[in-house]
Amino acid sequence: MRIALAGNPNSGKTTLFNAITGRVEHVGNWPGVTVAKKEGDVKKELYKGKKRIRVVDLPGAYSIAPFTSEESVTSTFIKNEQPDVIINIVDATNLSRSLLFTTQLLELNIPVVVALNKKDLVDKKSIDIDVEKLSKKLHCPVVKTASLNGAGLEELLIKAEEVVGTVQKRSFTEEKTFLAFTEEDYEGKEKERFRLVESLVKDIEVRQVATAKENGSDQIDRIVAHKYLGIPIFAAAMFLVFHLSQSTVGPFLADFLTGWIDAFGEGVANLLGENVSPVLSALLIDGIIGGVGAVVGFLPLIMVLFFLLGLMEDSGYMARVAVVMDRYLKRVGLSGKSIIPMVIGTGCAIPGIMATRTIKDVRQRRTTAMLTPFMPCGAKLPIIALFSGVFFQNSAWIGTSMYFVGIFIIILGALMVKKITGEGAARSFFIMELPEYRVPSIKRALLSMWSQGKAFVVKAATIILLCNAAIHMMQSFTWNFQVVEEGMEATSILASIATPFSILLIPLGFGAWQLAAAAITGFIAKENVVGTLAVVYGITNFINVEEFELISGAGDVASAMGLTTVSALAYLVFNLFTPPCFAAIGAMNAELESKKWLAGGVSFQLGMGYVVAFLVYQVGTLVTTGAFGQGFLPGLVAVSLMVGTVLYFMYRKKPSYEEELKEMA
Amino acid sequence: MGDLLVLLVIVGVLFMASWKLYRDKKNGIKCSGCAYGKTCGTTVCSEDKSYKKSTIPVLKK
Repeated sequence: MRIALAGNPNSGKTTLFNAITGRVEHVGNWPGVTVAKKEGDVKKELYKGKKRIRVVDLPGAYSIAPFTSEESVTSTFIKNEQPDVIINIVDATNLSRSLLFTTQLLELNIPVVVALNKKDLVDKKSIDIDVEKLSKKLHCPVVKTASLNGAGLEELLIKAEEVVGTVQKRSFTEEKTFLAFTEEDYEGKEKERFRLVESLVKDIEVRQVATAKENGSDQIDRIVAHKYLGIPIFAAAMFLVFHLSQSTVGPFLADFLTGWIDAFGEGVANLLGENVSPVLSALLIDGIIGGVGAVVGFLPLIMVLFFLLGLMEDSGYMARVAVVMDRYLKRVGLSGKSIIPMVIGTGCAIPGIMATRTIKDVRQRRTTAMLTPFMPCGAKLPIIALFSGVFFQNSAWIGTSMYFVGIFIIILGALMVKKITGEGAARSFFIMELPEYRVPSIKRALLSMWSQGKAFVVKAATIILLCNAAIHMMQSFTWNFQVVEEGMEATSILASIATPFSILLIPLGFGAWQLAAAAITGFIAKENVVGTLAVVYGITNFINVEEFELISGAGDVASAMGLTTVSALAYLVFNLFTPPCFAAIGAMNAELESKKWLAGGVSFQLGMGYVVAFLVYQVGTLVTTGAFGQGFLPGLVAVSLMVGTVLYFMYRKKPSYEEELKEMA
Repeated sequence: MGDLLVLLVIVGVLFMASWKLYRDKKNGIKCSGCAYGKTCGTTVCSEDKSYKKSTIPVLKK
């Protein structure tokens, strides 16, 4: 038996899905979190029967006729895959809007059970809903549920099982169903449907408090979503998050973890003693344990960060950030909805890029998918933490400013794309349902933290481990498979591969082959930058640099890398603002649906990373020393060529919007 | 003997890491360890094209 969960965005579908399947899918207190379908089996505790019940969680939709691509996932699944039952999750605090979709679902000839969700909020708001009357009017079972605490879920599943194979009477239209509407009569019919739903809601619902009255949520919004105060408040919130995760709580916890990792490495070294080949011993201790340990050492910082971001998201604040950003984003040709993929992209660029499906306009969707990777993702956090710790005394402003530089680059990039593609893109109006503020759930924030932390460890134990082992081998051997002698590291395989790339990086202030090698491995997974630096410089503990035995302090780590503060900042921005990883490029390829846009997007990301790093290094060096840095002239030529190419595309003849739409079709 | 043991440990560790990547790839998980891996179900998230197969026309604004 297959059950589809369908409903409006932010009605609690994924929370209900998690509650009945026991899975831990990402949920957020704002619309548009789910953009792809998810499947799972019902937990045994909730269903005692013998059948296997498969539940499919679908992205939120306001209508069966899709306006955006993620809405079409829902309509396509329901229409083509014919589930046995649809559980329609209805936000009981907003019946007039939610029941419109319900009435459409009831016309698809698939049995429907309505879950009147957010029962807890209904009780809190003293809203009385006559469930029996509603059930009679809709001709389908209606069950009150609260997916947050699991209330009503068993009854919901019993009702779902009961209705399988039954034919439910249609509630509004007997002759012509929704699917038979033509585009011409759609609008009129839907207006009629809206009036019917309004009268139905009046009949079954009694509200104690008028919705027109300003409540606490509205009062908070007056401040946090304010035209001028909104951005400083967001900046302050992000600074606090970074201060706690990267400068205080995170490093405090990381000290314990790195202590254990160091002790483990030392234990293995003692166990091996002098009787084992130094090459094998170094590969195991420095390459595998050291390289992976250096990355895993940042785990507490990442977990604290995602815990705090989870709290922010669950409180309903992030939806307000989207509203605050809308007025700036729409001026540069994006929509307020573009901020949703960007916020999701702070966790990982891939789901961020996928989340662009919620944007209806093709150009806005493509531009957002192309620019989302500029938001520093979770994989880039160890690089931020490493450089802010070693070169900037753990300053939280480094992390915070990287997010705002990311936003600035996105705005600049959007302006360029707008100019390159022409101004024909449709002006969109951003309508977003703001969720109510609530006390954030510690449990959900912990689950988000756990899921991100687990992902980080799995990645470190697989791809990072293999890369570090390969890097260590390539660093230890020459092309003739002779062990590299001490002081002759430049003859290694790794050095010979990385050196040509390092020449290109001289104008950016980091022309060492070790740094080039780390930047290249970063394209496989960004965490590799830290892992590779650990292997090539033989540093296993980047967290507690003051207590590190071989290198006495942060200053010495900096000198081992041969970087000044300015060139370190340039190296950081280069790694943050070049393409995140090959997997993200794959996601861009899938969502952009155009090789031209993909080539443009990847070139733009590479160029932007190079130009920003060049400016940071050369201007920074000029300010601090009074002269330009190394490789200024060749760098200027390279940057001028890149800027010239962008300018050429900005002022050439543009393809019409219609041509682009034709290409999409 | 010591060298052989260490070599076996290294090969074992590398094999397990590679095996995990291979198994994930077979299950359609493109990025091992991705926190959103489950969101993609058994399909590769970045290649989920199901939304493009919509048979219902997208209505004009």
